[in-house]
Amino acid sequence: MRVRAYKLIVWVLVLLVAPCAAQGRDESAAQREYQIKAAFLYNFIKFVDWPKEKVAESNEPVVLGIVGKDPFGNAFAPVKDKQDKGRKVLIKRFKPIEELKKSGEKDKSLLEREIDSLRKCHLLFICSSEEKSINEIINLVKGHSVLTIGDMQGFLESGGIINFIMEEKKVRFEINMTAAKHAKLQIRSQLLRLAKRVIKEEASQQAKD
Amino acid sequence: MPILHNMTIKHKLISIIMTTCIVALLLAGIVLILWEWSTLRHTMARNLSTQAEMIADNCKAAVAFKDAADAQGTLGALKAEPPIVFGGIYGNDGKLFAGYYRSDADRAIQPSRLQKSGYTFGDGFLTVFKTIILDDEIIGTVCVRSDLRPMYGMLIRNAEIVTAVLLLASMVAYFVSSRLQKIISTPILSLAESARRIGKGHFDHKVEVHSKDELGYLAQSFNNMAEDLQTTTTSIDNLNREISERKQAEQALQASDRKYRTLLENLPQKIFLKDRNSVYLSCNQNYATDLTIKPEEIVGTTDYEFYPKEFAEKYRADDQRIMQSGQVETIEEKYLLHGQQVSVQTVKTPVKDDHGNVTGVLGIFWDVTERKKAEEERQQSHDTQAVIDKLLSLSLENISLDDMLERAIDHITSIPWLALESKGAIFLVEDEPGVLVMKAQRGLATPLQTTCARVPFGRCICGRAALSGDVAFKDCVDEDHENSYGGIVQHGHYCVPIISAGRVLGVINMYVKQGHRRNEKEEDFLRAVAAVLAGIIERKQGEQKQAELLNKVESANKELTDFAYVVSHDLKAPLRGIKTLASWISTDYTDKLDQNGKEQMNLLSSRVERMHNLIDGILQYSRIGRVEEKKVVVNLNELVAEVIDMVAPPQNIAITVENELPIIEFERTRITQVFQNLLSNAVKYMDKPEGQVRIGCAEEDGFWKFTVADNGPGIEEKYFEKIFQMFQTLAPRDEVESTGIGLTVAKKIVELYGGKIWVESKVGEGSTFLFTLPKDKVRVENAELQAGIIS
Repeated sequence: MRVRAYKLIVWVLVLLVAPCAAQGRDESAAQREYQIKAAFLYNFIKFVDWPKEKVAESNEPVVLGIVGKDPFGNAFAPVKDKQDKGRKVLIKRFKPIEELKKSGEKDKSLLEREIDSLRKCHLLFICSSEEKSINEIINLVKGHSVLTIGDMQGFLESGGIINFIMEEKKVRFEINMTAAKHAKLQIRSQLLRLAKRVIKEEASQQAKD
Repeated sequence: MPILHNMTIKHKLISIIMTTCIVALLLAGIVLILWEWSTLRHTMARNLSTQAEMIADNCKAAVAFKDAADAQGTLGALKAEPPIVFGGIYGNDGKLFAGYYRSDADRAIQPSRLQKSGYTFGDGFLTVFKTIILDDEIIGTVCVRSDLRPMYGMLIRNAEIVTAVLLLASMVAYFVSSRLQKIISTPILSLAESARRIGKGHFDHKVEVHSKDELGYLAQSFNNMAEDLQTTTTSIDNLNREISERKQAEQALQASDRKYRTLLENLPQKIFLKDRNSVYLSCNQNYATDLTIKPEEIVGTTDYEFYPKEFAEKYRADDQRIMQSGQVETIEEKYLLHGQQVSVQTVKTPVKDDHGNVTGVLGIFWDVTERKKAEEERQQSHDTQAVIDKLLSLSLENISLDDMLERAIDHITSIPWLALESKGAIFLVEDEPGVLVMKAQRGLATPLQTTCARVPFGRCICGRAALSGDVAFKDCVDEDHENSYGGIVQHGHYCVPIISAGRVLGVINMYVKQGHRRNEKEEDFLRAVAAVLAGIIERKQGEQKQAELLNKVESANKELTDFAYVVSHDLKAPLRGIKTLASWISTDYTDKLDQNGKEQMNLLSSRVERMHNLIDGILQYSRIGRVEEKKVVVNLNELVAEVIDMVAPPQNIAITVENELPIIEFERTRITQVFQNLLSNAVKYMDKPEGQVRIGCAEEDGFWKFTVADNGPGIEEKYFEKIFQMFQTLAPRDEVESTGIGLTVAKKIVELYGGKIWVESKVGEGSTFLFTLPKDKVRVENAELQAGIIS
């Protein structure tokens, strides 16, 4: 990961020297941010225990759903390379929920199928494009042990479990333990220790670290 | 243990006990400390590994999510372990991700290189590496380093304790051993004191040791011994007397030994004695002088130290054979005297002990070089003579020159004593003057056989010898050896010119070994050989020339005969023409010719007749031997009767056959010619009123000898040869009509058959013509045929 990042920095420096690099730099910074987030998503799998009925069989992949306008681009490519050893991760992209609902008006069964597969996800990344429909999505997957991950302010308060935040240009995250408990997900203490903020069961907003 | 040697028993015992104690304690202490060192290391490594493992486990998330602060916090736990100087977490790129340093530690304390999981001792540290594994994937490495000084401190303390225990134990051991040693040393000291007393002659002294151990038994034996000694001393005087007698006998023996020794020393022969293994036991002064050593120095040496290997091996083999057979042998052999090879005669005798076992070999030898030399010289002159004899006898054999040379070189190269290499060649000068041609060779290298096939005078050694007319000698192949080839084997030469009447006929070339010294004897021999060969070659070449001449004469003769035949045959035709014309003229012109003319014509006729006879005679003569007639069985009795009829002798001449003539196988016409010529001659020249011709035959030395004897005028002795030559007549032609060819023809026929013809005569009394025919050439082979003719 670090090697990749380093290479990217070099690449960025090269672009700096090149003319009309300003836009390129912004794009690459965003790209790098999402690469790190993609890597974090993969790492979360290793520090979260799903309940028995949800645990994927050894030959089945862990399903990572992405709802809304996908900001990752090809950011998963580097992490995908490493998958040969570990468990397979299947990335499933869903249309924004509004669009789904629209298509559901025409074909009800299609909507049901989409919702069903949404619930089957182990991880669900809700893109910032879905900010307005957060509650709706979280309600859809409630009780199906889906680790919801967001990328926006107030995600935890809306019932999301993990939310990415940026701190001094570094990618950090915060955890809602209450939501995790409700989803019957066990989050390892090592991960908790690293979280910028953890919302405990008492609902008192207490930041760790 | 030289130190222990001079101590008293007491100190020896204490020393032994102390040394044993200290060695045992020291070993135990060392083992203990080594064991502890090993255990400490092991424990330390295990503990540090556990710690590293814990850190690796705890920092998984921090590494995965790149949280250096959290990782730092995890490492903070190491503060609890003072010996740990450094702890670090490295990413997969090998860079330090988070680190912990003991407060007093330098930053350079971290290891220079990352390693796989495991631990290493080095540079005063124990270093443990542990990989961080998340879901089967290595995401980083933990490294922990611990100071080893605390461990060494513990080891030194333990060593101090062991040393203290060692000292204390030694002191106790000394105290105990100095008490306990008395149990053994006291009786021994008492025993020693008693022994000293008995040694001074107090045999009645008793040793006072009563313990039941080995010392007690020793004391008891000592007492018994002292008693025995007392009784024995009395017999010692007798013993002393006996000893002095023996000494005298020994001295006498030595004197006798010296006497014989002196005898041996002064003998002119060389004498030696060897043991069963051919190792020298002794020798006399003479032999020692030969070997340039002192006589006593020969003991224990072998022949291999004085002689070359092949000599020593031969001597040894002789020794062993003689010892095995037990027989005395006289051997003539080679011996090296100050580097010179001489001949000696050696008598070797097996030496036997009292039981008849062979214990060695005694040898006596003396120089026989002079005698050998004389013998060799005799042999040499004999060989030389033999070769020359052989060469001379070769010259008598009827063989070609080439064969003779082949055999001659075999003889020359076969001489054993001559230091020639059994290699050599003989060259002759043939048609081309000044060039030697190789005629015979033995053992020459193949390239040389071609190169030296023709050698001009002055080239190479042989050419030089031929040019100078003197013996050329070389002891090696040098620049004069012009006919050479790559890899020529080193050798030398005698090149001896073969000279006859100042003319060089050829060269004898003999090989000698490289470094051979020119030897007058060899040279003389080769000169003699060359002289003999010169004679033979001259003669053989003469014979060859003679044979060639004879051949030429024969062919010339034959050509002449053929010519005579052709000429006479062709002359006959015109002659016949003249004769016919003459007779026609006589007949047709008989009335026109006067008396003188008629006489002239008659003369012409008779001359033509004579000419005709002459030509006929020549024709006959030339036919003999050229035209071969078939041989038939001829009864000479009948044939001679027919010839007598043919000759038709006048009334006053009586021809008689005196005895029975043989039946032979012959060309009928030829034998008829012989008898006819002889008989007609006898009749023709008869000058007596009562002529007698007698025909006889006798056997003599395998020949038939025929005689035709008459009582005619006889022939002077000076004409005995001449009458057999062609056209020779004694009487003038006009008196007796004769061609002078008849006897020549008879002679040729008889000689053709290997017989002889001659005449014996006295003027006025008559002549006897005799001729012989070899019986086996005219014998009738077919007995039936013979019988048939007779019947």
